[in-house]
Amino acid sequence: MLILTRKLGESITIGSEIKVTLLECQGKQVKLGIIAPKNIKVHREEIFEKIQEENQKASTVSKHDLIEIAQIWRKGVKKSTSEEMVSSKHLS
Amino acid sequence: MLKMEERPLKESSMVNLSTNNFGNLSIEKENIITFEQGLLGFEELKQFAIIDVEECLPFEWLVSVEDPIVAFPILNPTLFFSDYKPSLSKDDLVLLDIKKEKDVEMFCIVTLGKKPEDVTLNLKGPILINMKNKMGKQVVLTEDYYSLNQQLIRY
Repeated sequence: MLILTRKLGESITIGSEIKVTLLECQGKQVKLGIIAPKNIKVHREEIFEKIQEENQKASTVSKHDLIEIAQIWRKGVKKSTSEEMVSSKHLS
Repeated sequence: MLKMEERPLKESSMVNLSTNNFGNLSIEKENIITFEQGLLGFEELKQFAIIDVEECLPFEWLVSVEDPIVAFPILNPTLFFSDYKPSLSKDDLVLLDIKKEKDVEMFCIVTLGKKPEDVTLNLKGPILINMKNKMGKQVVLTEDYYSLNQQLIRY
């Protein structure tokens, strides 16, 4: 890991197209400004972990439980126009 | 009952899956969706099929072909959130070889809680599928306003 010290308002560049600027420092929080090409996706690191957790949780859902939930929610969807979409797609 | 001469063709175009939730399933090979990068946390599983169980609709299931015990409940998010229209990155469009927007189907993974109201949708990490070439990917949106566990809204 490369460790650099920067002052408020200073930046680092990564390659020729990515620039990270230290915008604000408040206690334990820092605000970063990132300039990068559109095809480079910038995410908070923990988002991937959280999606993994959600996927893990979803993979344990049983058909039995989903049927119960579906019954409840189908009533909700029925009142909206979405019901027509459901039936034309799957039931006809 | 199938005629004998039709059998070999029929069998070779089908894959049989033995699942926990749905018993034995027969999937047409051409309906198998390939996720080159797997799903987050399930990177080793690359092939899935969408299964509709009538009692579960409007929820559907994304079942792993390689490990049929693994199945994710999914939902077309626009049934509940009609204005859900995340911006798709060029990279994802290229990866899935998406040429027309109408070829893409979008699903969100569903998690259940203790109460019916605790049903949540992952709007932040939707699943994109190019229905033309059967290629899929779970993308992570950069938009901050989409929630990982969005509660469903009753109409």
